[in-house]
Amino acid sequence: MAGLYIHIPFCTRACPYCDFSFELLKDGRVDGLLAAVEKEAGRRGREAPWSDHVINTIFLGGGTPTCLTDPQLERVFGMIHDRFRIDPDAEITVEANPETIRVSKLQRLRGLGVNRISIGVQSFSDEILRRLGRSHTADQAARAIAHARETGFDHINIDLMFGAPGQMPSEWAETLDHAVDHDPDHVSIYGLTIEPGTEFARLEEEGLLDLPDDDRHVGCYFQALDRLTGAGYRHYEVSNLSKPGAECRHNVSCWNGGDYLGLGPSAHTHSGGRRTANTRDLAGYLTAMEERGEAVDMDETLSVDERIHEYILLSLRSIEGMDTLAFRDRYGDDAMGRREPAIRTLAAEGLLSERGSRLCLTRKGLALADSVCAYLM
Amino acid sequence: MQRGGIALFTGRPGGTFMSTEHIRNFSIIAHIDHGKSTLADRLLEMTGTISPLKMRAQMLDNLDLERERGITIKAHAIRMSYDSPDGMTFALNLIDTPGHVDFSYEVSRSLAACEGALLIVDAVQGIEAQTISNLYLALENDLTIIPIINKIDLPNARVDVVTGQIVDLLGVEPEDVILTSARDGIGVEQVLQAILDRIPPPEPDDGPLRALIFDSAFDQYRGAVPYVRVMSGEIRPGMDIEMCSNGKRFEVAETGVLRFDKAPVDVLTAGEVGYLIGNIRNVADASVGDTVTDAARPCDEPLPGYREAKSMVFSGLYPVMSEDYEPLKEALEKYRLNDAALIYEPETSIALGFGFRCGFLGLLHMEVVQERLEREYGLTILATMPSVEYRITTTSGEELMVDNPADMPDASLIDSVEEPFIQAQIVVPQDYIGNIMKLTRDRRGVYKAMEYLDPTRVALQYELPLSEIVFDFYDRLKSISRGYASFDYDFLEYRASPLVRLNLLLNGDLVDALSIIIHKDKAYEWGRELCQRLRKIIPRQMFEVAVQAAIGGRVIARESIRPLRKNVTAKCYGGDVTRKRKLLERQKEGKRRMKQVGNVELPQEAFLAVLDIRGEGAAVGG
Ligand SMILES: Nc1nc2c(ncn2[C@@H]2O[C@H](COP(=O)(O)OP(=O)(O)OP(=O)(O)O)[C@@H](O)[C@H]2O)c(=O)[nH]1
Ligand code: SF4
Ligand SMILES: [Mg+2]
Repeated sequence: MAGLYIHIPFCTRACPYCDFSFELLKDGRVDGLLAAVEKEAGRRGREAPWSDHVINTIFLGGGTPTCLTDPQLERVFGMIHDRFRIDPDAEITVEANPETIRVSKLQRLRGLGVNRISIGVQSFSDEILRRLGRSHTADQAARAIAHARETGFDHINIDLMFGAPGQMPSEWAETLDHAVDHDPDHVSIYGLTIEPGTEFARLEEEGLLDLPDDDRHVGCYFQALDRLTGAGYRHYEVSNLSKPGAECRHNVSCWNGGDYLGLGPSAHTHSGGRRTANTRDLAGYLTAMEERGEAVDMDETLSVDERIHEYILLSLRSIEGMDTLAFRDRYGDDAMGRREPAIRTLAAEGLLSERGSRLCLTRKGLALADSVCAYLM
Repeated sequence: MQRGGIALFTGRPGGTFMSTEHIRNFSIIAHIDHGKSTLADRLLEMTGTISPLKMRAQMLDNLDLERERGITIKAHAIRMSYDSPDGMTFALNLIDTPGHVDFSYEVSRSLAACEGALLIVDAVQGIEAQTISNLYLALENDLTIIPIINKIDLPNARVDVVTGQIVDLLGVEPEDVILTSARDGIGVEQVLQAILDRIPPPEPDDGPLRALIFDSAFDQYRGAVPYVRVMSGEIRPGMDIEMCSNGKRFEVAETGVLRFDKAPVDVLTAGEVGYLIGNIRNVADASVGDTVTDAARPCDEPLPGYREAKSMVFSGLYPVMSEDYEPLKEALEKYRLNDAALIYEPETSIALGFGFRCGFLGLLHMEVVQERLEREYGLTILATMPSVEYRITTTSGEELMVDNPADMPDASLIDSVEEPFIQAQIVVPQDYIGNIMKLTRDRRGVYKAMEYLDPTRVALQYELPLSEIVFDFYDRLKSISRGYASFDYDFLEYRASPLVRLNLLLNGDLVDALSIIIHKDKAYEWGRELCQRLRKIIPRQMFEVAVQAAIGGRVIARESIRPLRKNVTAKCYGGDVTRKRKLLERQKEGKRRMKQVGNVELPQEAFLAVLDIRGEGAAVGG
């Protein structure tokens, strides 16, 4: 079993905080991309290990995959089924932004076998959406969710973002209330982070972004956890909550060290401890596909230490935590023993808790997940 | 006038012949910034040692650090050939010396290799403290002094007044004083002529070889390279030499004179200054002050050598990466060849691990050592809080010398603590006497005497605790006298003082490297400042950090650093686990560069915070 990720690097408009790999949508470029992705899929689909795998999760991410036209989306799924063996029960997710969602498109996606949709809602406040530079309104977001439900998507995720410029706890509370009212079976909550090189980074530099301070930022995070778990969602990863059983299988498998194949610019691939990544930018990707028939520009086989580091960071981010027995099994008693003083310090400071053989981030620890993981590396 | 001497002719590359009679060995000495290196430039130019095209200001200051700071740190020896107006060729060995008090050991060593000294006095500043102290060093070595007033081009030059000062100080006639502008090249010919006329040539001596190592360098390929002044006999390639201090023998592979590069010659005879190469791998076998003699015909008695430099301040030098301990050790060994004033021995610290306790001549010296070690040997070094050396008598009557506050015994075991006092000489225009009085009182100084150098300038004598002057005293002195005061000091004696050890604790753990010994009246202010300073420097961590200053078990100041609240990034987008892992590994690596004390990560600046407090004139002793 393996996952398949396809990156569609187009957006209708650039969000000022975004450092993902994307390009503004222009005619003609999509077909060029799809041709290249087809070529890549053709090649990978014939090669080990992907030729032997049954794909049980598919994730079409971006960018904004839903800004593709219906025929383009059909072409993508046609290619997927041509080149790979797909498990009939596969989870198939497509990312979508509200302004690109039409009932007809959703019906088409359903028809193509897509059974999960992840909507970039971010906020139910028009003011905040404006400040985030998003190209949709709260109303569009609400309608998008309603349409998804109407067209038969059982699995709906909404992405919410906190820590926006000028955000007040009251607004955030309203957004959370709306989210709960819409009753998606999955919610991802992300704190706004200022990435170097983005428009927001520049504004912050100039002191023009009124960002909440760390206490308020973390306050919003806890507020969301409380509101959503109170409404029956289960917190299963630092940024993710779902109704029981509705966890995103694709992501969970990634975090558990499962294999996945990534196609398209900036897509990452993992297979048994070897990680590769494609060239990040679209032009570079297209040229590489044209000239070499592949676009890998990062290829690493993890050393033992690197595997340990990954294991720590991935497992601690899950709410179940890190199984120390499994850790010992994989990496030996020494690797565990070396970390015991650090574990004791973190536990004494109330950042880690020990539940049986599992080490879990406490609430305080969740907000410092990166520091805690780095401390244990 | 030329002094006589037996002409010892020796073959030279280039075919010229020269006798000791045609050699002059001299140093240029002065107070800091009076223009030594600039006058050296003019001499190099006038003798054609350097072509005008290659000339740049303060040519001999060839260390990066010297050029950046615009001061001389190392004595630099260079050989010049000069064809005198009456048609004779002279070999002039010049040693440019530093003026700053912290490098006076360089001056005293250079003087021992010379027969004469050019004493330069700035035409505006007049005689200053180091003018006097360097003059005494030269007189101790029986050198002929050529007094020079430099910078006469400056509009406010006070040639008459300064001439008067010099005449009084040296007991010379006004017409013996040469007036120059090293900047504009005025008076340089007279200087050259005076070097030939007034400085005696070295005495020829064909006794057994005795050569004084006055400096040394390390060459990666050729080992230690001693710079020597030959006092008697001669050194040639092929000869076996012996180091008097340890009897080690080496075959001489090369001898030469010090041009801009090393220039090999067939022989170095008595009176000459040059270098020798002999595959000396162990740096300890080329130690400054040692006498080199002929293994086949050893001398009866080695030269007197040098007094050991007396360290004034002590500090621990630690590698930031603990695996750099061995490289640091090697670097110190090699570095010391080139800076004989540095003293070091291994030490360990609870907070910092393995490092070296080092003795320096002053704070500038300490800074220079640290920077040169980092630059020349590619190390990252952490220097701990500097301290002077205390004498402690325990209740059991035992006497201890303590230069590291961490070694100070518990107060209950101490009978008395004594600290070093110095005899200070401050030269200042009389208008600033009031300011000087106030500053020295704040620094626990005792006034001794005052003497007029001329109707407007005085020399003041004080006794001061060394701990009060090693840090920022000089800067303060300059600022309260608009730059006019100058200052020099000598060790005087140990005196009892009410001193306590102040500890710094992080989350209850002692950071021994931040402890200091301090006058009890100043402990509170210091403790408060230090805690505040550290609160700003220590980055927020996952845990709250309590910063405390304590005397014994009593906490006298406290600050706390709030813990970090948030450090979490969003999901691993598109399965990009690598980026995330690398990000965290970098965070981890960043922390590795800090020193871990208990559960607190302490950045390097923390250890320098203490220096800043001094810099701001908190006037605390320690
Ligand atoms: N106007 C003027 N300035 C001079 C003269 N000689 C030197 N200077 C300036 O004085 C400053 C100090 O000159 P240096 O030659 O570096 O002095 P120094 O005595 O070698 O200094 P240290 O080695 O650091 O003790 C420089 O800025 C020179 O340019 C001079 O004759 N006239
Ligand atoms: S829609 Fe998503 S991928 Fe596109 S610019 Fe905005 S945040 Fe980035
Ligand atoms: Mg100089």
